[in-house]
Amino acid sequence: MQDYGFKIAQEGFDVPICEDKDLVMSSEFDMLKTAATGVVNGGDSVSHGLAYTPLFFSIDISITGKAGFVGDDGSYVDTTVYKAHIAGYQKRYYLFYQPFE
Amino acid sequence: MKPGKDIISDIPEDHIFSSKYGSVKVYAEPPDKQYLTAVVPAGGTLQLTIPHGLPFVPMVMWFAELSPGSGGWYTGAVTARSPTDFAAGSPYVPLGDPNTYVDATNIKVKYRNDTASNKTIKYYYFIFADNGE
Repeated sequence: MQDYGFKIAQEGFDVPICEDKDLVMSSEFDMLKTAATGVVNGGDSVSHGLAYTPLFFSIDISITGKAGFVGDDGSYVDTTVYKAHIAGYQKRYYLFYQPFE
Repeated sequence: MKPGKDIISDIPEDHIFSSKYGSVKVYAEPPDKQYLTAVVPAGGTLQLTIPHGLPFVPMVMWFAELSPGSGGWYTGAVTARSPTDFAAGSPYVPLGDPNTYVDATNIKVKYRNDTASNKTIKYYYFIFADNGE
């Protein structure tokens, strides 16, 4: 049975021959789907309502107009909540429909 | 849809993508999608400044190989070094460093080298067209 799908290449790249990293998207690869995003205070928890531990990005917002880097902030997720680390900092979070454990 | 899943499924995990859900978008990576290198001077610091070109504070993922040739890449700018890299005196970003951040114009990372010899690091980044604040 033939396998059907689609690919879209980035500008300047040719779909039939480019490497996977030069694609915008491909039906061969899953994409991160945002379940929730927002800003919370350090120490707060956000119930995510997913039945698993989701992939997440979390960023420190320590000073207005400045942010940290994904993964530097010490926050975590479990099967019920996203927990923002360190009181005194705000956090921008992204939770995805993507279990990773 | 993912293989074996039904298009009418309302389970988000069954979809590769859907117009119903947003996603993060990679806006930029280093030129030619190749890692960059930088020399952190002996006993000194190196401030990296990368203009991102977006009109807001974007989300940024940062990766760095702190010990040349080790093959060990860290995620984030302010990371706890492994015992091996710590013992090797690899460059690092001190916790709470005020010169390491992303703002509405630049990505800034400042490395410190406490040893008596120059150290070369490799780094790579993903700049997303999504809010970092």
